[in-house]
Amino acid sequence: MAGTTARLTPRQEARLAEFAQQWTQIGLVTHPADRSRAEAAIRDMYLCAGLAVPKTIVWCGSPLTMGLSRAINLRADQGNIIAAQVPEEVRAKLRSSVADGAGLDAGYCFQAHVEHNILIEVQSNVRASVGKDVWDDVMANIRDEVGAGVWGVGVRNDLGADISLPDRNVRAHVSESFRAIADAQRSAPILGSYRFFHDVVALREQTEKLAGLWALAQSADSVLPHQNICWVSERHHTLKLDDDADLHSLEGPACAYPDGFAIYAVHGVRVPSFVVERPREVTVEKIDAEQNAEVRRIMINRYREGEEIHGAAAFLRDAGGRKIDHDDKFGTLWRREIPDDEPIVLLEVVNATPEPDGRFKHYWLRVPPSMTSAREAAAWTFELGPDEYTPEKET
Amino acid sequence: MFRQGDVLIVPIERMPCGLQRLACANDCVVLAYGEATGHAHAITAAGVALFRDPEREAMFMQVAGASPAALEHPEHGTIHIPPGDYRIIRQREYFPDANRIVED
Repeated sequence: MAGTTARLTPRQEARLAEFAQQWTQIGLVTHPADRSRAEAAIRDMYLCAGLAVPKTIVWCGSPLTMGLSRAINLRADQGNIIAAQVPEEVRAKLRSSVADGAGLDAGYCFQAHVEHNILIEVQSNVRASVGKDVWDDVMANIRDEVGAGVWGVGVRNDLGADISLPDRNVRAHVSESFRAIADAQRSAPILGSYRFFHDVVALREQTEKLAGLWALAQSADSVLPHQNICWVSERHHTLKLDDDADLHSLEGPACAYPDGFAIYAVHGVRVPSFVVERPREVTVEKIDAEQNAEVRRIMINRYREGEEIHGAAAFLRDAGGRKIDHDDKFGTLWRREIPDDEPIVLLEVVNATPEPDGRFKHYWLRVPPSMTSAREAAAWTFELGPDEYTPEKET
Repeated sequence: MFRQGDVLIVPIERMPCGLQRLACANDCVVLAYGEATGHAHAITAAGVALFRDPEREAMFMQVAGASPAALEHPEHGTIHIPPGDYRIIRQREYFPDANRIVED
């Protein structure tokens, strides 16, 4: 092993951006999985971990069906009970991946062996070979850069968010299945960093055990590796992110897989599909019943979407608010308390110029919850203090 | 101080330094475009200039000459603005994540 590398050379430094870009692309790819490459990668991954290759590789249409297929296989005696609790449309997606592993004992779970232990080992090898400056440089320029462009793994633990499993034990068992998933594509930030050490810093021996994971990240989504069966998931074919690389779409799912599993999200917050697809179904009752404050806030913004008065203004109009001030010149201030969140405070103003039919148009403008008078609220909308806002002519 | 719909025109003592003059076509300056309706708050007159403060995202207007300039909008009454220097403020609305400019 060569001595410790204290600094990257200018030539090595110059390639950081190229790796960051390449592995960001890998993290975002929406092509169908490359099945033969992925299967070779899975065998490599087992061999790198010193394990015998699995007897069977079972393809699944999404990480959701992958987690459920494994949960059903591991509880062969209760498989039907679990399947029966899954909603009909999900059960239909499960059939082939459950059948492919049916009757086969999965054996031990190898998640730690093929993913965690190898990453730890490679990390300690690399750290022994490079100084702290080099490590920090690569982590900041590849891991953090790729991480900022690829959506987070947090959603994975929440894969089953949209399916309600009535039985608590079944729910816990299925959740454990989701947590046992070994990520490949979404480990692009750290896998890309080690690939740089391998290709550019020439730390071949120190990183070579990642060969299987590197290839898997470029050919499939993720795996659920067991001794005899390795379940593997197709990639997402739809992926929509906002500027912060959070899952986000107001038209259709933000992320969707070939078997139809779809994640709806608004700026990284997962929401039920109707909030995005059918905002007409967002009602005052559903908003009031929603327990999650972030989801409720999005539902309020989506309320009566498409109508002239929508969002917080329409919600307050329909749900009823308390009038806290009225001023003939500045308008009416309304307030509605929202459990576990800040209240909605709206200023209702009337256009100074009549419409062609002689009526005066009303507008509702949301203002900070600290506002207590219509005058203060009207001034705030123009970045002024209440005493500074003195228009002499308004039309 | 004048208000036409969602645009407030506030007289100021003098123009701040470091402003960029905004280009205008055919002596027509547009204070704000209505993104939803396509209607604009506009003045058609020589001697009216718009400026932007690149540091603060703020907008300013200078009405030169001897006579007032007519600020027009299809849905609001015309306002005659006397010669002088002004700051133009777009109406904003509060959202829990970030304030937004009102789109009319």
